[in-house]
Amino acid sequence: MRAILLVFLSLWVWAPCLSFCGTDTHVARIVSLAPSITEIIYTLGLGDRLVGVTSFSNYPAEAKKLPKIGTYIHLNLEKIIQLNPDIAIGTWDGNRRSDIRILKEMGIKVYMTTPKNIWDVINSIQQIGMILGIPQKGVMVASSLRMRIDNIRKKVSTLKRVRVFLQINNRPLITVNKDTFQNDLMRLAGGINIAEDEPIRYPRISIEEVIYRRPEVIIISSMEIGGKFEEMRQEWMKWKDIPAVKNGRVFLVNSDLLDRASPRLVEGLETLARLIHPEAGWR
Amino acid sequence: MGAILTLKDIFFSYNSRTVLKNINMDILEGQVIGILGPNGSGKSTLLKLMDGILIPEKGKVLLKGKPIDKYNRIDIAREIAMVGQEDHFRFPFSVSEVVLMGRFPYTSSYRFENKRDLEVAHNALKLTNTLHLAKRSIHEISGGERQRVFLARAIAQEPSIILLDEITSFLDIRFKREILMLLASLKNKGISMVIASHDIELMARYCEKMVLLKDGDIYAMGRPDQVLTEENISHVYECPVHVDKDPVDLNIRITIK
Amino acid sequence: MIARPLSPAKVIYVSLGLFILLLMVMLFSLYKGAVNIRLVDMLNAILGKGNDPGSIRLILLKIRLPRILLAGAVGFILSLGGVVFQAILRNPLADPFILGVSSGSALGAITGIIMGLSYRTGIPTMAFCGAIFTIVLVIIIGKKGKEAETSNIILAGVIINAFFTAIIMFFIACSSNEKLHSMLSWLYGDLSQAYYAQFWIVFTVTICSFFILYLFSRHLNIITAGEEVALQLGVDVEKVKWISLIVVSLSVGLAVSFSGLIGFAGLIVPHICRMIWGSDHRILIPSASLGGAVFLIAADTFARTIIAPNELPVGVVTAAIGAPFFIYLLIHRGSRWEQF
Repeated sequence: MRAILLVFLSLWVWAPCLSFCGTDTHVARIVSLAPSITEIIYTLGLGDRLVGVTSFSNYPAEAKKLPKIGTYIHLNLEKIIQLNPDIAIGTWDGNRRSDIRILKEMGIKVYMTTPKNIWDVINSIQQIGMILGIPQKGVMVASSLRMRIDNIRKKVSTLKRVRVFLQINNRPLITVNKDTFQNDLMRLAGGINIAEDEPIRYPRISIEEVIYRRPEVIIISSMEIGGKFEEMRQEWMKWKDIPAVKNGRVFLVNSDLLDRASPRLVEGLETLARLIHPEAGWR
Repeated sequence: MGAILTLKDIFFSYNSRTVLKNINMDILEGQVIGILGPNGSGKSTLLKLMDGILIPEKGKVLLKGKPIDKYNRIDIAREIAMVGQEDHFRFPFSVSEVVLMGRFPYTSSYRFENKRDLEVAHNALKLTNTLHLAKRSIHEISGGERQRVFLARAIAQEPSIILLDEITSFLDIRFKREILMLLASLKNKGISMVIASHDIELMARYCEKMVLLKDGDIYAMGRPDQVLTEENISHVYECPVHVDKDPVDLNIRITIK
Repeated sequence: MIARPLSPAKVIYVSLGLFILLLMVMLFSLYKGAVNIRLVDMLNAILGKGNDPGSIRLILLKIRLPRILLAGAVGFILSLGGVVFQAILRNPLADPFILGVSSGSALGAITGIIMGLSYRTGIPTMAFCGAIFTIVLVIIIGKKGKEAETSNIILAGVIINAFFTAIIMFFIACSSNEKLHSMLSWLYGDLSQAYYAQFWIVFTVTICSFFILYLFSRHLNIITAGEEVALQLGVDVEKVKWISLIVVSLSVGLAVSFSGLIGFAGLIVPHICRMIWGSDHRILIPSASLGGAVFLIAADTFARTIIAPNELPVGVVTAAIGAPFFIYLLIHRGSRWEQF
């Protein structure tokens, strides 16, 4: 039953690509307008067709060697034009409308994704696969990701939800509300975000609130491994009242795994699930 | 020969404090008038009213028979020039540029200075003995020199009346004398002058008419020997003085008791 | 016989010289950019010859040229505004934003960004409305009867600037990441979204303002001596002040609604021109205006090439030049500041 549903979903997902159907599917030169898109293109095996990426496209490592076209919030239009791409792929979650409009006015084909949650991200992989001429590969990658998510969901479905606090910035202390990828992941991993109902997407929160809401796990989402992380963990250690601190459950997770609209979100999900429900028995 | 400037029943207050009341006076062509009075008696205010910079509450100021508020500023500037104490140039200009500003009432916006303007300015500089300073910056010259430059500017306006507010305050005796001799020569050209000052003796020498102000009122008006009596001065300045004539040149001499 | 301190010939020569400099800087900026273009290709592209490998013509005409033109127009009016305000307010530190036009248009722009309006029309309109609103507010607060009392006006401008800045900071603190970036890039000046229509609007308004304000050159000269002195010499001080304040504030408000806030351009260039050619506004106004255009084009070119393909905000470049310049001025002029 679920399989049929999945197949049906994947067909339905093709709808937005209709405007791109029927065009010449051999796309030789691709420009990626966001780091998440870069990752998706590599996952689809088309990394060798990339001719330009944004400054923070740091994964996989080969992407760092590609020509840079500015940052995703401030594209360098000159460079993009010079690279003469067959298509530029971007995301409304970051790219500026004005930049995209100018690219279109210059006659460059642009495809935009609008990933609002993890399912949208997976759908976008499928869509991008289709417009780049490899629809089967797209479906394959998307399906396998969906399956991995499903496995996790099954594993934690019977377990009691764990209260989680996710910190995305240290000074000031900032967390996420329900309108974010991170929240999706926390839910799917069997946890509940203690800041879920905050009105702002990335709200500043006081330490008192965190103490009051008694999270059982604290996740620090950051790029700063090593020394900085230890510093932040030491800061939490002061508040021994918090269950997470008492039980030594303060962890660091690479932020790219939690906030980038790329396939690695699933990796982030798996990491979170292991940290939140270690008792579930992971391979 | 009618009066060039007439003040009729002038009342002026500032912030509900009466500064001048019941002022009535005429200024005739070529007349040199001295305005005297202690601090706060309204001398500066009187001069500003004459120039139309301040508007009286009651009464009229008539310039050549017409109410001064019916004139626009440029026309007033062609008749009346003023040399005051405060002139803070924020940005540097040369002395000749400053004097040429006196030609503003005669030039329209897009026109640059013409030969006539340069001539008038040149003569004004010569008259005030500041020609050698022409290229210097207004900030680099001494206080006394600056006063003379401002006087040159006033002369360049080719006015019928020059109003002078305490211009001798910053000058040493040599320059005081020079200025006053200069004013005398201007009088010969038919320019009227109204001089507000503290320097009673000097005024007495050069002014043909004196106005003594006390608390905003005209206490006395007339020829110097009529106005500058012991009673008047002691009463107005609230300080006992002795008035007599200098035996050598017969000028009025005032000594504090 | 004394010499004319300033002749029309000198004004024309200096203006022509600066204009030629402007053209040269424009050409140079066309040549420089994130993408290296050979001189030969550039000339071919401009003249429309040959095929167009690498879409050079597109890059030059649709991306670089509108940006250069807009930078020139904005720099022109910022400097012109600076000169006029410094004269009217008799303050060498006045810039065209002193009446709160900066925070007013910033508040308008930021409100527009929060509302999700378009960068092409919505946000500039909001910014301009903000500017107008602020100008009106400052005039109402600073007015004393029919007179525009300068110290009151400056004070009103400072207060309103502070108040609006607090509101802006509040909005910034509450905003989400994507909007935050847009807000900050507007606050530091962003010419990268330039297109020809913007340039023509700013250019038209700027040229009209130039001619109106040039008419007041001699009045401005005299006003710097003091308002009362100016009255005595026949200047209608109130009229000149009102017209200047309104014309400058409106045109500057319009320019920054397209370009964002760019500081120091209205401060540095007037000073340099005054040091070279003196304080007579008949030469200061044209030289500072053209100088401002040259300055901003140069600063913007630097901003978009120094860390290509990334860009520095142009406001950062002007500040980086402006601050040391003022330190230098302070050291050299020191206590003679009030006499400049």
